[in-house]
Amino acid sequence: MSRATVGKLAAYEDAGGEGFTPEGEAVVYLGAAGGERAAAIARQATSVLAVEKSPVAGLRLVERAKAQADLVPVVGDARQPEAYGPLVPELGLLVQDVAQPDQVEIFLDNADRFQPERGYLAVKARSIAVDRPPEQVFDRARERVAEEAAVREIVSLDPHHEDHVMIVADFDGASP
Amino acid sequence: MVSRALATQWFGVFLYEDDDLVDRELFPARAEAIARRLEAVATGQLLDEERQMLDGVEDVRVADERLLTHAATMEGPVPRARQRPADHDLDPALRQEAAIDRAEAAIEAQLSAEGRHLVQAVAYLDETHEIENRMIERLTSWFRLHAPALVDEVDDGVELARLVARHDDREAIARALDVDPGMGSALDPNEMRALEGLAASIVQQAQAREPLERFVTELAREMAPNIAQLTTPAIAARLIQHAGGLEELAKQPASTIQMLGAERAVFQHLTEDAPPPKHGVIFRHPMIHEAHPDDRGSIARAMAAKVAIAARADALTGNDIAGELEADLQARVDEIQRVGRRRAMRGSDR
Ligand SMILES: C[S@@+](CC[C@H](N)C(=O)[O-])C[C@H]1O[C@@H](n2cnc3c(N)ncnc32)[C@H](O)[C@@H]1O
Repeated sequence: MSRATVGKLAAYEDAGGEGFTPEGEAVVYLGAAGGERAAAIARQATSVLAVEKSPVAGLRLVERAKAQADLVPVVGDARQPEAYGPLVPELGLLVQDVAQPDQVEIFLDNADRFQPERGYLAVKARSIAVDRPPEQVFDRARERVAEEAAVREIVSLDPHHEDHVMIVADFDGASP
Repeated sequence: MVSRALATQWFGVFLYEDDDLVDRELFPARAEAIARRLEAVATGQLLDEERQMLDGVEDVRVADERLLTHAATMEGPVPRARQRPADHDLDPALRQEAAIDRAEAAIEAQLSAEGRHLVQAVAYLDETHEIENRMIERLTSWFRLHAPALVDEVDDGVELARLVARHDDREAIARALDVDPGMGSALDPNEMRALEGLAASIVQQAQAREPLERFVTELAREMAPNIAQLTTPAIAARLIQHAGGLEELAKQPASTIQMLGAERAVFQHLTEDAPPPKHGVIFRHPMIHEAHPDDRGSIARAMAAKVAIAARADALTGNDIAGELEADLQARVDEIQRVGRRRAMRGSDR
């Protein structure tokens, strides 16, 4: 895990992204690992629901949550949003950093269910395909997100995270 | 016709008609009670509160698959998280408290479930190894009767099996290897088919082992990152298997950890007067088996002591302490080897 390095959101801001402003928002963070970054966001947001699949990382996440009231831990799979759905409040921001082959679909499923206003998807090219050029993987990911949302930005996270981009998308957020 | 929807939030179940809240069933305002319901939802069950609310109404839109098991429901858009706890006189802090309860239970269940998977997978890995080795021995000794020169040419059993499985007779194999088939008794066609079948089983067995080995090392790395880094993922997996799980391993003293996996040797020592075994699974670590024989015992002891600490971190806190442990261990090993060399210079036969 890239514990010692700059986080994906910080790298995105560093690279000239428009910015991530969680103040006053409810946030869902998928792929929170030990919760280092989710906790930092929770200090500004109204709350962060942090979802992490690995039970070992989950141990650290829970310890951190015990010390911070607005960090709500879920040890579960982001592919099963049904499982943590009841805990998700009316949502402002969806942040995802899971490094999985189906990361784009995971992001869209969660967005579809929880209807955030805006989503931040960290895409790792090598998790999706090692045998295709990253640019091609990113294009495909952007196109796929654009089918469901308005893509605001796609920002390369080099040099902090090689072959990663952040895709920022606006969902209309209107409840049915 | 009214349009109904049911939404479950962490503190209760809510029924809407034409977007207005018409009914609610609140959960007991205690973290454990809520955590229990979160678990039921996560495992796909219908909550009692949901059932009560659905009985007696019809055509209710729901978002979750688990709710579709009730006859009154159909899939459709549902108002998301519209209720706030404060609107129902509930303390919002209960949400985090219940989530922590639930997460702790999920961690507990998963860690021990993973341990059980690992124990099975490692045991199976050993079994496939043993079966494969036996089949290779059979193939080698049998095929040697027909083509001793060919068998000598190939030193890897699986490779030999691949050749036998792929070619129709020993001449074809000899051509593939570009060697003289040499002497050897003739092959009956049925005998050749039988040998091919045996060879094909070996190849298949070897192929099946790859994903199994990947599963084991990846799971070991995930479950026990500290032990895996300090030793190797394969050693970590075997330590967990011999202890019967990560939690069990974390309870063992270093002296036991040092011997894990040496059980059979211990038994032989007791029953057959064999020499006492010195090391268990951790002996496979290059740091130990590449060391001077006189130093191995001390290094194994030092490593077992660090593994004991790593196991407690992996099982209890999840803290990453492998780097420190590695540095400590290296320092200790340098010290052991320095003392060993000094002893050697003083004249003992080293
Ligand atoms: C690249 S790390 C995230 C690092 C973290 N966001 C940070 O900046 O510190 C990816 C994390 O996602 C988790 N993960 C992978 N697949 C997941 C899934 N399906 N659901 C939830 N978490 C997942 C991994 O266990 C890992 O902890």
